[in-house]
Amino acid sequence: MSAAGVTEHGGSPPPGGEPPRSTLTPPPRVWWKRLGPDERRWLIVAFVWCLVLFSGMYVWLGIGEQQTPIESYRITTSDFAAEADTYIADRQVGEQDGVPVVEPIPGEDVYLVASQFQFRPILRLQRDETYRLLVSSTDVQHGLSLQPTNLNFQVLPGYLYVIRVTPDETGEFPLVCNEFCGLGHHVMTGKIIVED
Amino acid sequence: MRSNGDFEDPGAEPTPWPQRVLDNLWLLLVVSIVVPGLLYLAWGLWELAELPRWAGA
Amino acid sequence: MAATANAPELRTCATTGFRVDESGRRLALAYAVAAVLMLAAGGVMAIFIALQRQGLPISDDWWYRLVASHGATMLLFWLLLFEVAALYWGSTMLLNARMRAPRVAWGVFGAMLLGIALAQWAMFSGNATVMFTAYPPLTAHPLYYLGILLFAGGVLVAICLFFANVVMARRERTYEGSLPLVVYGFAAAAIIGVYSLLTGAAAYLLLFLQSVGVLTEVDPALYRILFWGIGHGAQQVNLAAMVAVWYALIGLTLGGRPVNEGLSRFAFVLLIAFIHLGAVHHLMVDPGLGTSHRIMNTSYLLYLAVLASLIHAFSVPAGIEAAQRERGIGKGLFGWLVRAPWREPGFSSLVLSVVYFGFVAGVSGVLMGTMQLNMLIHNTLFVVGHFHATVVSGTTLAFMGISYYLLPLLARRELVGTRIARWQPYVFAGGVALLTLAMLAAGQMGVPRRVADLGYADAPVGVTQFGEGAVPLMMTLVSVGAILAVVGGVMYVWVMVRTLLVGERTDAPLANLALRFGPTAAPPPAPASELPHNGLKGRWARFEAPGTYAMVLFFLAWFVVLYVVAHFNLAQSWPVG
Repeated sequence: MSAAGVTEHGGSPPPGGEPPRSTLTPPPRVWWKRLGPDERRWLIVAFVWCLVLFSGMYVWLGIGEQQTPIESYRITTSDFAAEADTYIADRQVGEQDGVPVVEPIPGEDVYLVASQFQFRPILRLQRDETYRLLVSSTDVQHGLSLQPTNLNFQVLPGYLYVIRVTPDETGEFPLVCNEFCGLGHHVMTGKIIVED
Repeated sequence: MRSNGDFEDPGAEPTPWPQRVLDNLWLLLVVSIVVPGLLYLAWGLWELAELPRWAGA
Repeated sequence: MAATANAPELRTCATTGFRVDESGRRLALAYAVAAVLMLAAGGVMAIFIALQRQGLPISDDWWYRLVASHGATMLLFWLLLFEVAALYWGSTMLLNARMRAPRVAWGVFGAMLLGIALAQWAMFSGNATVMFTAYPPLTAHPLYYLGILLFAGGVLVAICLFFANVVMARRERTYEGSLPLVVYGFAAAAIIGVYSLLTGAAAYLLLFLQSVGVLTEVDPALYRILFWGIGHGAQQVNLAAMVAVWYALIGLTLGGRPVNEGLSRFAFVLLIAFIHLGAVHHLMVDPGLGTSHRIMNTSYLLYLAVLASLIHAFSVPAGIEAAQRERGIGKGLFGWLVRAPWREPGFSSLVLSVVYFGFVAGVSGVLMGTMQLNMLIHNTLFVVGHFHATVVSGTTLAFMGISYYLLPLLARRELVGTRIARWQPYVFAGGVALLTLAMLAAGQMGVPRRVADLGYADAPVGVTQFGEGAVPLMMTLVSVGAILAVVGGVMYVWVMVRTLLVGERTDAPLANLALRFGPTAAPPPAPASELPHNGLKGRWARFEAPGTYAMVLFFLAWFVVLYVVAHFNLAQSWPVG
């Protein structure tokens, strides 16, 4: 027992009762108690929402047309560079701003190379056809950002990322790099052209 | 004046087990390392290790 | 009750009634001061970064160096230094306990300052323009990695000292029963910090070894998995510390206590157990991981860590409401909030932080972490908007709020600039709100992050995307918000510095703030165990916090709407997968 007026903990000296409880003072000896009715309701509602959020991703897996690409492989940067160059040489139909333009066959694998500081080749695709983009980097990490449809992916050297894409509109669409890749990060761009 | 002396009262009921679990900082530390260590780190590293090599175009 | 019979008596603080260990007080003060100085430095950098967009002539190279340092200075140095101050305060004064191994603690402080100096030198000299993410194969000077490792290692030791303080306090019975909720929250932050710092240190150690030639390369995917343990983990340390500070502000400004201790503590435990799984949020559009790993981890396993935040979203406002109703303040559903002490900087920063964190920061975070939604925003300014909403208008604002009480107490000086302090949270919150909302909008429009020139003037393949439509307006609003936020930051630093330098020395600081805690505060009129009837009808009559209940339901509706809209947005993109 301590003398009245001496505080063991922070808080007002009790006028005959215990010091006022606070977030800053130890709780009562037994603090595990029933939830109030509002707390209990909210806990249930919140937990149900958590379950909805969780299953939402599975639901979207079933019904959505936009899915996270998963298919990936290991590949050396030199192998990727060599295969990409072969592909580009094979399918090149022109050049723009010093970058080769390539016209892939619908449904096929299309190499897209990210490097400091350019995406190559420029792709000329057909609307409503599906292409398998084989994306990797020959040097550092990059970010593939397709605008304005706003689809964004990470590009790692040593890893091949297979991104199946079906352009559903015609036009010219910029690619920008959105992963900091060095002092030329802000000149790193590319392009996808979609025609009927 | 009622002090917190009832903590030492042997006749007082034991604290509820959820309280004792929540109060056990060492248990919580172990959980905080084991759960992500297995579900995020170990599983993730295993997935990377199992990634197939690209066999060519 | 048993006192610390063998140790000499500790001085009792006249304002709070806590027993004060001098080395604990000095260490906490040193860390808090260092933290504020880092905040000021980061804020200065923010001005340059923001104004470069509006034409301030800074070279691209320098813009990138500033972005790199701004990130490390704010995310690592400001926040973690302040958190160590909070850990020391919480494990000594709040427990009436002694600081263990103060000499070790001071040595660690010195090492951390050295680490900061090394890292800053490396960044400012252009030797470490790799951003705080430091993704390999980008490489920096070995001293950069070493500097960060020193700093992170120091935090780890400080965490150990925190636990030592708590264990010894329990053993010496300087407090009885369970830890105060605020200290429990700090303990949660400390526990979460252990795993974060270990994986982060492992990641940076690999880079360090590569930078000195011991390793030839560091696998980029492996690094990312390891790094994001601290990349995201440190933010969860900030989250737990912020929530603990919210509870502390309820105690200081309202004399409040949690409506249900078990519920709040359970929420901290959910965070401790599951929060680190969210590191995968940064890997959602990476090659390498499978679908199940992504879904299980991004959801924190059934969104249990989000449940933790949803619990605090109720418990924190409920604590405010209960404290007000207990004193008979305010009528009806929301009177308690209207008639709350909005002039008290601790209260206004508390509410602004809670509201903004919930409605903007938290919701945007969960949306970004939703597996398929992540594609829409990865590496865009949306991410930057989100984390400014969390750590600036959430954590930093809360830390500012409590330092109006903490620094005068630690420094034993009267607060100087109370009038500025009363306005500061509003100015700062307003600036950051504008900044972050504009960033979120710009990110939705595809604006990439960390790009020095959004006009792509020097790019061979031109991009005019971001010079059109609403993007330039958004970027202007970003700059305006940044300036306003910096003004709010200057107000805060000004008050802190003046208090520390010219504040009147006193044994009982905070006389000019309406503190509802400590021997000088009037206790609540109602008995501590029961709330008066809230005056409402029907089932609402039995609620402990009916106003809060209404607010969280509204918040949930907001959440649901945004979730649906985001998926609708996603469906407009090209089919992909």
